[in-house]
Amino acid sequence: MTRRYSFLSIMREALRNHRGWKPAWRKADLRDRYDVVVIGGGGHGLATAYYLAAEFGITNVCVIEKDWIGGGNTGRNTTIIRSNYLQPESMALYGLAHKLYENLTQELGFNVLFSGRGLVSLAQTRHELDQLTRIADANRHFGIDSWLIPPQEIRKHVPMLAEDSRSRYPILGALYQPRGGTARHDAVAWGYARGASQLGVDIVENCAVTHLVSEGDKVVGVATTKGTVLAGTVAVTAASASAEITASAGVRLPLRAQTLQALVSEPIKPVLDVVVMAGAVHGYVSQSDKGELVIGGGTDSQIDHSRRGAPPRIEESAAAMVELFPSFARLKMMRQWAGTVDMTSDRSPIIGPAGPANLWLNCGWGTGGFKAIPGSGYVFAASLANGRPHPIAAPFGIDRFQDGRVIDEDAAAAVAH
Amino acid sequence: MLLLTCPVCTISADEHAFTCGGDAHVTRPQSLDPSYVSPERLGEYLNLVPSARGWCREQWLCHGCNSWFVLLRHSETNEIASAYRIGDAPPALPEGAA
Repeated sequence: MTRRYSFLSIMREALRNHRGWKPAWRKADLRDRYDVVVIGGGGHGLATAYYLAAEFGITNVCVIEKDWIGGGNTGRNTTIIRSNYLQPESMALYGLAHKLYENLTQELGFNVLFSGRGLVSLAQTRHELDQLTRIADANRHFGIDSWLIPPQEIRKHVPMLAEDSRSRYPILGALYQPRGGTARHDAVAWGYARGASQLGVDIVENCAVTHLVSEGDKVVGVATTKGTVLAGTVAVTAASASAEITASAGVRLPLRAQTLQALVSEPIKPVLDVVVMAGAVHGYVSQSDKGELVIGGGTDSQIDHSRRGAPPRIEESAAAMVELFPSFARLKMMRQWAGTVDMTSDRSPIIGPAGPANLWLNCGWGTGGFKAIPGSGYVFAASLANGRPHPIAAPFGIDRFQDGRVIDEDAAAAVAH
Repeated sequence: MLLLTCPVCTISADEHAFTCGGDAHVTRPQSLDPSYVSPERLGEYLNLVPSARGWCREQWLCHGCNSWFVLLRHSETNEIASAYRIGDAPPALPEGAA
């Protein structure tokens, strides 16, 4: 039985015709009771389960996923990782995630293809330059390694950018985070699933939650399409599906479900070795290891759960690309897809107790959840294990909307990414 | 792609010709006495917006005539049941709707 991935195990299996490899995670059967039930098998839920087991010794855990793990927004994003946000609460959370990402392959023994290739966020209007200057100052103050670079340095990192004389929006400067980059999104889900499963966590796919089971003002379990399971603690990491789940326990969530699309080009030779984000023209792009340009843009504004998308936003993303890189106009786009993002009014997540006893929330990541997965999973697991919010998670509680203590990241999240 | 017909000027066009402006039929809690509107009620008004799977009533702007109207649309299938003027009595949900 071969579990560890190593040079030796590859050699051993090669001699046995690769018959000894085990599935990366067990497809478990739902048991009657768990200490913790995590609803939603995306990156955040799987990371939470992994850290519960690996860091806090809590292994009697089940992750329930209505489709296949990582099939929601974790599998649909444009894979950008960075931590240059505006508010200190955010920098603490995304900064932790960024650090954990840099060592994640070693931690999980599973290659997540993290590539800290550099991230360039362009300023193309005077207003945007002021905004990025403010963020750069906040980053430096907090200790996030991100700063402003002038146009000539930008063009060294991104030589394919259009000449200013041809641009409707000339490049005035950029916020640069050299450690920013990308990772393979599916691998993050699979790596956490494998790690959690090896530590004893049950992962149950094709199992939808129908409602939460309460006794008085306590949540005691979860009713699913595969039966009812009792739980000491229920953690909801179900993104835009969270609201209908918590509604059954009388909890309403301040989330808007909107469509976010992305697209990839045909594979081409290396032309872009940093991630480029451009708020003014509203697009962002990186080049995958296969050579495809991975392109994203803004959300639709109406409530939409269809995960389909339509041409208008795609045309905007394409227009942004052509404005920045006129040579890309000749590329064929191979594939387009969409996901449903759960948007909060301040573009920051909701992490913390939901209200009824034993019910916890980690949702509302909207357009920017992928970069936070390891940090989110870690602080959420710590919160569940200790029965109180981890200090990094505490400011993101759902009460902040009522109290007006919003953590406004509209500027730093300027382009949906 | 959504194909909409403006109930005010009657043009039919795809969504390039319209802009979505959020939820319809939302009434801001009003009172001359600020202590009458509880923080909870105001918090609900500001933060808890309808976002469920199912029929949505939304405000849309027609770029042709610059009027706002209300659209009754299903948020999962994107089926459009009706479009009506602001101030009109909202039509009933389609047959068989939840």
